[in-house]
This record gives sequence, C-alpha cells and structure tokens, in this order.
Amino acid sequence: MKRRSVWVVVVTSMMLLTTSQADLAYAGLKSITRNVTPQGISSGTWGAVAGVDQTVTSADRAGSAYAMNLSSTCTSGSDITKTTSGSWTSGTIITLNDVIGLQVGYLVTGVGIANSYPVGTDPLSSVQRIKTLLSGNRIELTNGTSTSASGSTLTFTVAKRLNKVRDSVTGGVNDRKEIETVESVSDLVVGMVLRGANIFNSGTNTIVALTASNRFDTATGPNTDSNQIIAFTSPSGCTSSSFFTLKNTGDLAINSMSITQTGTALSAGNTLTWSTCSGTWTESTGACSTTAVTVLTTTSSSGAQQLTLALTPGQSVRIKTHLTPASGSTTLNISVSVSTSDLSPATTSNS
Amino acid sequence: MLGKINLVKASWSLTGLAGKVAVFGVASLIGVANIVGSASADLNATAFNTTAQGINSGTMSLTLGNGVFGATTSTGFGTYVTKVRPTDTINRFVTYTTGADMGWETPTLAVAATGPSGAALGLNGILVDGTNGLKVWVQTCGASTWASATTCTTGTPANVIGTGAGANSVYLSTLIAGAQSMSNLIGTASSVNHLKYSISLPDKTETTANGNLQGTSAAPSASALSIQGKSVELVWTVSVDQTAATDTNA
Repeated sequence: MKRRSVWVVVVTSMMLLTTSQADLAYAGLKSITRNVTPQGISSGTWGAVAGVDQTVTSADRAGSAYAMNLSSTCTSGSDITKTTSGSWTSGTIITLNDVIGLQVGYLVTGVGIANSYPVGTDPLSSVQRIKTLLSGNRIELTNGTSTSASGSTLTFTVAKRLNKVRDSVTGGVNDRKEIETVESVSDLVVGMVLRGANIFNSGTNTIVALTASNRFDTATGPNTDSNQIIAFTSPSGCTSSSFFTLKNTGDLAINSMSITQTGTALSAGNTLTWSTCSGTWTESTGACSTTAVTVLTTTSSSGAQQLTLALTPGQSVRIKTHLTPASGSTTLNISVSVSTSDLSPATTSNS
Repeated sequence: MLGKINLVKASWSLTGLAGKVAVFGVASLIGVANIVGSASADLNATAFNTTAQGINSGTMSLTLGNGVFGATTSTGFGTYVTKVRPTDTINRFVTYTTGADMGWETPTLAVAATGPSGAALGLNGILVDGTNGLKVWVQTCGASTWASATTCTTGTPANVIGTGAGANSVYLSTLIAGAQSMSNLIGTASSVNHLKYSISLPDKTETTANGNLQGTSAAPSASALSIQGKSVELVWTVSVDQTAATDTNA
C-alpha cells in the first residue's frame, strides 16, 4: 500500500509541473512600442468662389452661383457712314466702298438720296432704307430715284419695321411696352434709344430687354400700334461691363477652375470677355494701369469652360467682364468649380 | 543542481524506493517531498550549495526613436502634417532599437486612429477608410541607415508593410482592423532597424462647386463624402514576441 501511494503522489506531481511549464511557454514575453504623441494628419481643402469683393467666402455662395448685373451706359452712338463709288450710282441701286456693318432695313440719308431719312428725327415708313444687300458692295434702296454722285457720304442708321405693339402680360398690366418687329433682333441691344412716330417718349425711350420671337421691351409706354419704321441708336454708343472678384477659398493652391456662366448677358450673339490687370483697375472707367489681359471669352454656347488662373490660398483677383455688343441691364450668373485636377501638383515631403 | 540531487538520495535511504524515483529527475521533487512528509523518520539530512545560484531574468525591450536620412534627423511621428492633398506622400524616418538582453520575433504593426478631439472619428473617418483613406508603405534599410530619402547607406530598401507606392501600399484601415505582420526586420538583441514610413493619400476626384461639395448642400469639410478638411491622430504600435525558449546545459 505504501508503494502504491507513493507512485500516485509522484505521477500527480509530475502532471502538475508539466501543466505549469506549458502555461509558461504560451505566456511568453511581449514588447510593444508606439509613438506617445499621436501623429496628426489633416487633409487640405480646395475651392474658389465669385463675389462682389475680396471678402467673399464659400459660405456666401453656399453652392449657388454668383449673380451680378452687367450695367450699361448708353449714349447716342455714331451712325454708320459709307462713301459711294463705282460707275453706277443712280436709281435704287448704289455702289459703296464697302458694306461692312450694314443690314437690310437700315435707314439711309445723304446727298442725292431720294426720300432721305433726316437723322435724329422720327422716321416715316416712306423714308429710304436698305431693301437688299447686293454683291459688289451694292445696296438696293426701297424706293425713289437717288442721284448720289460717286464720293458722296451716306449715313446709315439701324432701323426696324415695327409690326405691332403687344399687350404686356407681365403682372397683368396692359402697359404696351412690348414691341414685335418683322426683322430679327440680332442687331439690337438693350440700352438702345428708339425713335419713331408712335414710340412713347420717342428719342429717349430705350430697349430694356430682348425677348423671344423677335420682341423687345421698352422702358416706358404705352407705345401705340402702328406698322412703321423705328430708328435705333448705334450699338457703338453703349459700354457694358462690370467687375467682380474671384477668390481661392481653399487652403491649397490651385492652377485652374471650371467656369459656367448663364443669364441674359449671354443671349445668342453676345460675347462676354473676362480680363485681368496686373496693375490696377480704375473701375469707374474700366481702365487698367498696365495692360489688361483677356483670360476667358464666352458665348451662349460655350458651356463649362476651363479658366487657367493660378491662385494661392486666400488669394483673390479682380475680374472685368465686358459684353459685346453692349447691352443695358443684363444678368450674369457665375458658377465656379474646382476639382482635384485643378490643384497644383502633389508633393512628396521628407522630414 | 547538486544540492537537489543529494536531497533525492537522502530520501531514498528513508523510503527504500531507490532507482525508481531517479528516472523522473527534478520533476519528482514535490512527490518525494510529500513522501518524506508522510514518513515518521528519526534521521534527517540536508545538503545545499554554499554559493547561491544567481539567476536573473532577461529584459526584452523595443524602443521607438526618430530616424535619420542623409544628414537630416527626421521629426518622426511627432509633427502635425497639414493640408494633405490626394497623391501627396509624407515620408517619416524612425528607428526601432532592441535591448541588449534578448531578441524578439513575429513583429506586427497596428494603427489606432482617433478624432482630433476624441475617439470618435465621425466625419473624419473617410481619412482612414478602406477606399479613400490614407495608405502606408513601410520600408527598412535594416541595420543600415538611410543615406537619403530613398537609398540606404548599404544595400537597398526592403519592404516591411506593403510592397510599393500607390496601389501597392496598405490602407490604414487594414492596420486599424488588426495588426499586420512586418517583414524584413532584424530581431536580434541590440539590433537597430531603420524604417521609413511613406504615408500617402490616394487619388480621388472631388469637385467643390461654389463653396459646396458638388452634388451636395454641404461644404466639403462638413461632408462625410469628402476627403477634404478632415483630420486624424495616429498611434503606430509595433508589437514583438520573445524568441523561442532555449534549454542550456552547463
């Protein structure tokens, strides 16, 4: 019995010791090391917005385009003058040195022109105007027998034959400020002064908006219904421009941005240019102290455009917008987008 | 050892179990002790070594330090990196020094990411997510130092985590989810590993339109969809195990 008891004790002790050794083997030493101060990493931001001045912020736009008006200053522009030439200058067909800028419907006056239109007066429907533009720098007049000698100076004024006055439906008020013409309105611009026998405030009334279907609105009314010719001041008498600020609102430098513009300033036929000045703009006159540089040219069909313009974080630049042909009060909505590809090249830093 | 053997021999004389107990060696000591305790003996004998056997346990240590590249001492992980843009790369050089007592094996790297003011990353989570977030490529010059930002004084850089830049780097999200094995490290006592951490932000096309993230009504920094204007704080943890236990005979 004693021997058996001893064996049991011995074997049990061995098992206990073996188990203990196994536990020690699995619970080996470990060591860890880590940075005590966490490594801070933050990403940059990129973006740019348009605004009234350099104080503009991203929150000011909050996803919306910058809306501005392109104000216009219109004066009575210079009418177009041409010199007669050629062997045949008689009747209803007259040969000119050139017909650049002339269009059908323009009123004509000058020495030897029958039924001539007295510039600055309200035109009558019977006055002379261009009926057809012919080859060889020739124009065909609407009536009469003109006898202008070669070398005579003729004056041409933008003119349209008024079809009818429309009753305005704006606000339900019948102010009869809307006019429909028979020709296109492509050579008319907002701000032009109208003259006509049935034009309200003839000589001081202006075009305030060009609308669809060859219509336009006048500043004052009512205009009376009449099928007659209306004369307009030359568009060269208007200047239409304004200033705004582009600012990099991110904290990364950018090399470019995407610009999308909409609004009445970009009606078909209009061209809008953006200019920068390395010197100083005199905004009251639109003059640049050095040389203005055109950085973007936009038409109604341009869509989104890539503007190459490097701006450091927080930097802003003053932009002059100029509309051609000039218009009166037009709207312009400027949307600015900055994408990853507009950022300055990525870098590898070692420190 | 000598003292213990003598004690066993003394037990034999009291119990008569000579020759059988001996095969169990040291492991039988407790059993023998029990036997002795249960016996009623009149004689007793003790034996011991007069010079105490000194035993010290080893210390395993691994210490993180700022590395050197060329003549420049790196700032390590201690500096705040700001304004990171997609495809930017930030290189940081660190050393891992092993203590003199013992080496180690099975090194792993893990990352813990917290928000700028607390544990919750919230909007900042995109900076360390598995699609758009930061990536890392760790290389080592081994025992050699970095002669420049890209070359070793001796030999060529070897991959530790990841196998290259860009697509071949490892998302931090992987290292946050679980520690990853580190390759090509030297685990012997007193070794110094010279590592380079290349942290990069993957390419991601994002557009900010009129101040807001395009297609949303929020500024990029306020949008969980945007990589812009986010920040995290990273703790890089290297963990090693002791090498396999050894038996020494002397």
